Amino acid sequence: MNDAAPHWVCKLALPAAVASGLLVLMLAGLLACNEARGKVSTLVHSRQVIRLHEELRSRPRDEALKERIRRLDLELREEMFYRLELSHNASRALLAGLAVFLASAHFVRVSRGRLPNPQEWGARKAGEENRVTRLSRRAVAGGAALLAGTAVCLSMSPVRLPEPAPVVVAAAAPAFPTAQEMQRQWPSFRGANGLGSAPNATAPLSWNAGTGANIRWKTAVPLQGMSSPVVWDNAVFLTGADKTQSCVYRFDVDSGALEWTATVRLPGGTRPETPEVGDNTGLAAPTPVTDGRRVYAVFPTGEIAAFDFSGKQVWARNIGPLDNSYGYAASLAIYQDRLLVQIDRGQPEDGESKMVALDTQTGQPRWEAKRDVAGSWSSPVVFDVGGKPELITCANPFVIAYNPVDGKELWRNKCLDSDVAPSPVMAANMIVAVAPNTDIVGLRPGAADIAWKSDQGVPDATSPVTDGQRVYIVNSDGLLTCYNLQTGKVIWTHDLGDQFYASPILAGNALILVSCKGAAWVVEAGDVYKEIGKGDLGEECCASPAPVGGRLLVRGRNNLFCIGAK
Amino acid sequence: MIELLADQRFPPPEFTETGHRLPGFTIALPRGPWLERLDIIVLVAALSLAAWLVLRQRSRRGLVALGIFSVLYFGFWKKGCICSIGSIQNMAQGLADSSVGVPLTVLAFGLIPLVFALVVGRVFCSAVCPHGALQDLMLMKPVKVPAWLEHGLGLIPYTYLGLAMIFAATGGGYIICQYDPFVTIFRLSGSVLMVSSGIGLLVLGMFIGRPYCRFACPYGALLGLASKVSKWRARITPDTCTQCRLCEQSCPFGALNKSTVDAPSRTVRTDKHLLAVIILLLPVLICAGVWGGGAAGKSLARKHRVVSLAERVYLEETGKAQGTTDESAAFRVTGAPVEGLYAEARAVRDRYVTASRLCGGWIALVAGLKLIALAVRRKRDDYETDETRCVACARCFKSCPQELQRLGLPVPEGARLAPPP
Repeated sequence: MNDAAPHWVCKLALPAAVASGLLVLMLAGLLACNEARGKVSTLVHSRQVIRLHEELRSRPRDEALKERIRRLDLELREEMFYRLELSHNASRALLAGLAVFLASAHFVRVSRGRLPNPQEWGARKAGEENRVTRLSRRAVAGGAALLAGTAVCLSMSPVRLPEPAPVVVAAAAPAFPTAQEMQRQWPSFRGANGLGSAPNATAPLSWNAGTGANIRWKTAVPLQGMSSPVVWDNAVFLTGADKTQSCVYRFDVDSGALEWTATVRLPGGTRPETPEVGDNTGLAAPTPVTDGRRVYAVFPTGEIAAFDFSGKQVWARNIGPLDNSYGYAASLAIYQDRLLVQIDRGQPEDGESKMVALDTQTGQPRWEAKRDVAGSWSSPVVFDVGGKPELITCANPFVIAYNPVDGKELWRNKCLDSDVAPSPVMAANMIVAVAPNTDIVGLRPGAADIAWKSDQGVPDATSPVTDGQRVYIVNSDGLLTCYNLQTGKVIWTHDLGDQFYASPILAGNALILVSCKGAAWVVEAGDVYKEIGKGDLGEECCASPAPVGGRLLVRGRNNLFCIGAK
Repeated sequence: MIELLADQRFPPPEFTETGHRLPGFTIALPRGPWLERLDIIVLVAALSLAAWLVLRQRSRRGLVALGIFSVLYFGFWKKGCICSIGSIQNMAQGLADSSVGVPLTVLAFGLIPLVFALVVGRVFCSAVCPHGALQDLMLMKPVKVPAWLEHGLGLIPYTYLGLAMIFAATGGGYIICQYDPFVTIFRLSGSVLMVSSGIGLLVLGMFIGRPYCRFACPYGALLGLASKVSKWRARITPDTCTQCRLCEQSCPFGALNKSTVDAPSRTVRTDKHLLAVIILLLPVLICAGVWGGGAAGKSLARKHRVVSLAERVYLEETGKAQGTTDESAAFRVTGAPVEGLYAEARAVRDRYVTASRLCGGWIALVAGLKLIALAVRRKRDDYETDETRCVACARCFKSCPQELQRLGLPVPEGARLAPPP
């Protein structure tokens, strides 16, 4: 059997095997010791380093201490790398030693090998193989039983997860309201579809908070905010925030009672850092939105949350950062079961702007569209264009339309500039958008061309309102201008002589304008300026009113007012 | 360049006051496409060479040389990746999830050895697989594992295969790679546990031939099944078996089936009653396996990161766990609703339950077929290699006097030789 190896190889094989075997054992021992001693965590968790760092906290200017830390850190790192190097070199040497050991052991085995002798094994015994087979069957059955036992043991510790509540199909309400239901309410900033118009409402013609005339009720709002009220049946929702909390309030339409206050609680209980915001924007500028199932609110901190009508938080998440100059102010919009959030930040080239749609039931993202636009304060609006929904957004330099279902961009028009805050309106197949302090623009949905432009009475913050034939705009300086909706031709102008941040609204045929001081004008919509009423809130106002039936809900600096005949 | 494990990394020193700029991280580039093609060519060449060495040359020495090459090339040079054993997980995931692509090289490493096994038996195991070759080279003084134990432990590779398929197909991870005991040796780096397992298996392999291949390797189980139908495979004798019994103790892997020619008559009887019972009980056994798999699936799902995170968050939410883990804290920072996480986790768990049922049925089927095979006695005229378990190492060749005569080597005294044709 030793035919394959020369004699001298076989002679050398044993000492080589012994020597290499000893070397392998020695190197293995060295590696084990090195591994036991060389935990890297000793550097990170070195008691000495920790102690010195603690000392440094109490003596931050102690240069000698800093130098000691640096020296110790360097020593520990050097030792660590030395040990790593040693480990790698020893491993390689061990492999080489092992190869020598295997080869020499092979030759030892070959030189000592002897031929098998079946006589020594004896004759095959009758029954022996049956016995082995029987044992083998038992071993296989035992193995299978062991696996079955393991499965049973595993089944005793199943994953603990809450099971979903059973869905009762018959009792379940539709996931979202119909367009007709929405039209009957004032569910979002400037009403359903963001048009700022309630054709079936009637406006009170005079009120005075000082005398209480036509003030049905007045309720203090706990925290300030620039957001406007939204209404669903008998519930009025408002938001308010300060540096410690972001809240949603529900008031009763009839009595004005504050029914509940809900504070946004993000999972984990942490509140994002409060961004710097301008005094005219505040920490609760975006108006909430409701679909009759839940009310949704977003805050400049990045908190966005949904509450049911009893004030219980359904979901909350951090959608931030939402920081931009002046402070985040875009209100939420809603389309069916998609909550639409316009987040425009920085410059177009920064790539930080986006349009996001969240699932109204879970808050999970449904789609997201990147936007190459600058920071804006305008609110997104969903218009019905020829029976199809179009989500219209305004930000420097584009008016962009999206499909609110999947976020696919439908068209865009480069017609805006500057800091865009006014929201668009649409009627009679004409969209009116505002490039602050520059132009008012009329354009057809889907059209690349601008239908008309006007540079008269251009606002910087307030949004237009239309009665279907005319567009009414009041700018910050109080210049109220009426334009022809289709041509953009100015029909009339009137100087109200006050400052305005609140966007005007239409209740029936009455145009209602509330100034920053709280003074109000009721003007008949038409081809001539005709003042039909006046009011006074007695406190500052930056929020747009919400007309409900014959009443008007207005948020002042500190109070929520319900105006109407008692 | 020294490679470091995650737990060997530590914070960089603060050089802010000295203005020192830290060098950026260096990430090893992937192997170039031509190198990947080369790997496939080398694999095919090595398999062809192994088949030639086993079937035509009947050369143990050639296989040892090829084994050393495979350990160096597929093991140390390629650092054990891609390996055929792990590639079946990529294929399982690719089949289960259409969004997951399986690279051509991975597909080639998974399928080519299987195709060879279908034709020429487990030549891949003989000297091409670096894991097998390394263990083969380590074998010093083989100790015979009792046949009954060999059969009992033979269930493990099929179980491991089933579990690996579950975890890969459901996104729970590649457990074959995670718990590969030899890859740490090829890379000279790894966790203490895995390095110890690798060394332990090698030391064990000095006395018990190829312990990983025989009692753990899921790919070996597949190759064994494939080689059952192979037309050509390693034969002990190059000529006619003379029942000399010289080869009887030559296989260190228990992969040799004795001839029934000289056996006492009782050993060739098939227990027909037992066979009928096992065949009738097989559907019941499979149903029990499906049920057991489904029951275990809800626990196995914990291996998936989403399920484990959801469970942790749920325990925190219900006050059954105090504090947060890194994962749960990171999840909470995202602000995502927990209901969404729970729903996703439930969907993953349900996938695990389905996959575990299949796995349970598979294991039960294997156990049932093994019992059937043990109840059947086959008549054998020759001493033969076992078609499933033989790894074509060629150790038995030179124990046959016919082979010695063929090679012109001295034949043991008294050995029976086949009469000349």
